[in-house]
Amino acid sequence: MVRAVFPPGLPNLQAFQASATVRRLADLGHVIPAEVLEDTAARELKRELSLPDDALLLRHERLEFPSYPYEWPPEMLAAAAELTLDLAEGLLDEGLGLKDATPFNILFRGSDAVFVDVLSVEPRAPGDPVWRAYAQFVRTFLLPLIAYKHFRLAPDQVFTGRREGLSPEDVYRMSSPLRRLLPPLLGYATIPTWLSARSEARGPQLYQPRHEAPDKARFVLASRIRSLRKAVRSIGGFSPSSHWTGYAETHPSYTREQESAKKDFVRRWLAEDRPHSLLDVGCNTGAYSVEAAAAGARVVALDADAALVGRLYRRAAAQNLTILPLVVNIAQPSPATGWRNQECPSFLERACGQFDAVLMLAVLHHLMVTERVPLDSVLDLAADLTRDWLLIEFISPQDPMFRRIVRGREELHADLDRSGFEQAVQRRFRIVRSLTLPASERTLFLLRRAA
Amino acid sequence: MTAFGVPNPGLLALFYADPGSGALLWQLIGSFFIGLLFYFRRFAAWISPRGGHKRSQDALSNEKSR
Repeated sequence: MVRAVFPPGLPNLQAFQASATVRRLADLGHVIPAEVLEDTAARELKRELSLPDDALLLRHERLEFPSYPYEWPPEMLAAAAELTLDLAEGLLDEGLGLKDATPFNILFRGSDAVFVDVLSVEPRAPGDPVWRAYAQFVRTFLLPLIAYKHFRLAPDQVFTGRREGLSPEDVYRMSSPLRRLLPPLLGYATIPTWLSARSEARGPQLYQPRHEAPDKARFVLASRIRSLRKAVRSIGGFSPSSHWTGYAETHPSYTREQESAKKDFVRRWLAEDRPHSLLDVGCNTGAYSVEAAAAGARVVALDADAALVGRLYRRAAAQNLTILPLVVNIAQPSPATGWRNQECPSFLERACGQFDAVLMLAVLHHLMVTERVPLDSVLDLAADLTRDWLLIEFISPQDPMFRRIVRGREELHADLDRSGFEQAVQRRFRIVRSLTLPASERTLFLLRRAA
Repeated sequence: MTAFGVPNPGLLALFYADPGSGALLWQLIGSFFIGLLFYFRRFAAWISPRGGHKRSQDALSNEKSR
């Protein structure tokens, strides 16, 4: 990944490169390394891209799977907030600051947050006690976390199509009169909303830089960053539940014997073929993502339920697993967003052809029944996503869960059976082996993409 | 390898982040009070060593009078 930096950005780049805080965080893997390219290849690249001679080229590590805030569970948004504050706090003592504070400056390497906007670091006016990115931090980190905790508004509902997050006025309108007067809404939504009209009346004078004694300005900024961190930690200490978080316990789809046979089938394949990269579609609790990570795969795990994905993230972060869990409904994946839909590519643009293997365990019936996606279309998508392997679980219409979700409309899937499934599969894959779970209407298929 | 970076006369515009209006005013109000705390702590730190010196002086004079 190569970045071109033009002359207006060079002072910020120099500040970034000189910063001890940046170096410390980069050593821990939390800031993207940046290597200046000055060789002949760099000069040729500049010519090829018609870049001016005074542009500087930087080479960055290419993170395996870029993701965006609308695909994160709230736990990942909170982790990104903490990293932003770590940087802002460390830079203070170096006379530097962050000129912006948005989760779009962060990507994830597995479960580790990585700051990637190298031009965000800038020299700070020593006497200015105001952090100009404060409001953006509140809008894009704090208020979405508050909205999730109090109103169950997940980040995908906030950030898809709303890069700037939630305004204080948005959260104020969502809240009851009593909640508006309680922390944290009082300080981050209610008072800024009340002051908004007064501030408009002050005009441009409000935005003039302030001049205080440098140590006082630093004290004020450090206090402010500390209280933001305290707010993130108090809001982020949630353990939400959803319809799906306890589902496996309350509505078990497998007996112990069936679960064991399924695990053995998956483990055997992982041990034999050791895929480097794996996409787990409909990961639920992430049990099989964990198996794949234990076998050495770099895993991207998807589920539509933010609470489930958040639990998997906490587990991956605590156990240092190579799993990137994302809130994505594969039937309605994240669209391309930003200016002309070109700033953030869609999930499918990023995912197709990027994985050695795809898991679709206990998800096919949800796609076919609830999402009404024809079987051939599901298999076509799977063939586009994987470079090689597909491990898919066929669930017959006689399965109790299938019958439950079809809700009396069994005739819609009356012609679906195992032989029809095998026939459909062989358009795009060849069957390596299969296993029908004992006393079950569920069959696992290990498939390889046809050439 | 992916390369990005587009020369554009409006490049500096990319450096903008909206500081808010009500939020900025609230930040300024908060800065005033935090600034008061700064002076209070400075004052407290200034009197504290003098207080300690006075106490040690009292202890010395008590010792001498025994």
